[in-house]
Amino acid sequence: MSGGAMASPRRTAALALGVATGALAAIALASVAIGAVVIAPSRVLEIILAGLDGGQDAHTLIVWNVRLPRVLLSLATGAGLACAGMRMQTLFRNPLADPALIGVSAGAALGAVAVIVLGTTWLHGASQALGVWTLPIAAFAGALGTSLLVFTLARREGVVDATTMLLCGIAVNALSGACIGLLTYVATDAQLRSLTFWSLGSLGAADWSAVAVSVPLIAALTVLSLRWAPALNALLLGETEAMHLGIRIEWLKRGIVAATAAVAGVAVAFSGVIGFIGLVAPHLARLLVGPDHRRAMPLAAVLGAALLTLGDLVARTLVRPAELPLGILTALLGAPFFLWLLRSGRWPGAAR
Amino acid sequence: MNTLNTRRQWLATVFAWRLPAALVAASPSPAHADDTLPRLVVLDSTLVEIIVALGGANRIVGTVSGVEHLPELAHTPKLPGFRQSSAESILALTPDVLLMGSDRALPQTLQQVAAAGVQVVRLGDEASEAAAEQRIRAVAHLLRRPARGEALARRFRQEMAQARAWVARAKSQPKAIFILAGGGRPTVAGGRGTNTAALLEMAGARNVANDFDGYRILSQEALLMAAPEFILTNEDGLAPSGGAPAVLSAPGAAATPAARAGRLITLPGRYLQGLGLSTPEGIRLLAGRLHPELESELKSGPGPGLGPEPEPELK
Repeated sequence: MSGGAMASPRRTAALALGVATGALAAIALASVAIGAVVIAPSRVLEIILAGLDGGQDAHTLIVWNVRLPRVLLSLATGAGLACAGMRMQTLFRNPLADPALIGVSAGAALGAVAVIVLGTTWLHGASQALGVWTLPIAAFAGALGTSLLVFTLARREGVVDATTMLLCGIAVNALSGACIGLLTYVATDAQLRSLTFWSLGSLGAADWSAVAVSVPLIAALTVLSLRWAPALNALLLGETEAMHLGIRIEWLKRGIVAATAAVAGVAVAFSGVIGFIGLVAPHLARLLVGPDHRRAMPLAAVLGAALLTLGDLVARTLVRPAELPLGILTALLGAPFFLWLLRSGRWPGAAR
Repeated sequence: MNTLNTRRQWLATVFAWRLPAALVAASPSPAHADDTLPRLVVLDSTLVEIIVALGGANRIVGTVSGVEHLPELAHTPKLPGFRQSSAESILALTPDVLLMGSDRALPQTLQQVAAAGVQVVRLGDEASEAAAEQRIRAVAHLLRRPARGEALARRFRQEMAQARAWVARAKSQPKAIFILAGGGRPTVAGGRGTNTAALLEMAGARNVANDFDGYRILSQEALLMAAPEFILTNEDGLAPSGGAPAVLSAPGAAATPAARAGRLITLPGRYLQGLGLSTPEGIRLLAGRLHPELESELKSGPGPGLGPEPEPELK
């Protein structure tokens, strides 16, 4: 795997990663500098340099307590969802796979909707005990619960078949959807309004506690993804081939599902359902540097972070002082892009 | 609960032709029940309040959520959801009249209900006092109690005038905002034209979410800059999201004067749903919190017949 023949793709990969990282840095800086409230960039810099002790005026609070945690959360969420998407596409050897496929999003939504609708009655005790954390915890528990269910259902004699898991995922998604529909049906007006806004996805609630929970977790699992790159490359050849190459395939599958459920669960718990990042970012990365996970995975992480942060910047400034739900925006920008990718003839064949 | 409702509706359909009407609807049958009055399915809580105040609660055979504060309707079947999509669910209650403010059923559902011989009555939901009085008169007409309706409309007008006069003596016009509790995320505020904005303004506050119409996600930065001194929220939505802390701890809300001073006002949903009989009381409850000087004035001397304790429901 060395020599002159490989130098060119490697240089391409380094170049792509460099350019993407530069763009990411620019987007992140712009996101801290721009918002619903207009603050001069020089003043923003001053505020950041002065640190948290810089005062309690509105601009300091906006930069430190609203913008910085929000940008950090969107960077982590974007990178996490992109890597999770790439792992899913490789695991299922299906270009359409994303974290939603194993029920993560539907399960999280079910947990959250259950709390919103039943929080005053059946789940009153839980919501009293958990307080502010009730909703994120319920969403996270829902995400883990459904993916565990899908994984268990797909398991026969200790072996998980990817196709069975895909079909189980579809069935469990439908089941969760039906339960959400049932809860929606019995919800009151105020509850309906709450759950509609919740399910549209938004990074509006980003604060330092959300950052403290999600950033370390997503960062650790992203690093793990990078370490799995050779095993994922082997998996692209097929499960039997990977096994012959010495990959402990069942453990890898478990690891992929657990990591995906954790990342997407945390993401959806704090930000609701954000579609298309987990689908678009991995494809874009493969388009640029090819299917080798050692190159595509880091690039997908950077692209995912950049795309989501850019999307959020648009979502929170386009109709200020109101905000567009982020989930709408990622789908609105993501879907046409995805179609263009399909039709452009540059289709890399995803996980071939 | 859903199954239970369905079963009750099914039973109602099956037995409607052989059991006395009052028993099928499981509604209390008081001595003065006037069986010649129409049986009503009412899809609007403010209209239910009017009917109850006019003594017509026993004619309501079905309603929707938002009437939990009315003990008269504790056993009345409730149709779930915001927009009714099943004509059969409504017809199973065997109403003569389907009453609502704005359309709260799908068009084809309304057509089917009307085709089955049920009179569909829409009274509108305009948030003005004149419109509210008109609704009172229209309901009274339906219950064939025009005199009681006229008296109730007059009483409502007086109560509104008293509440306004009381609020007019306030010495400040604090900045306030309505934030929808429930999901806890994202922050959804009541903009122009919402019932909550109207209530805030009637209670002598300035709604700071005045750059957009309806309920929208509000930017945390804009909330912080708007610096509301009071945050109003719906009581029923607090429990699921962790109570008052969740509303006040959203990153933008946390730094507002309202959150710093802990000035979160919660009101039950009945005061936030639309302009109606609960509104004068809602204004008093809200204004009492927005303007502490009005409350202390009440304690030092008798106000215009307005104790801090809300008056009993109109009878």
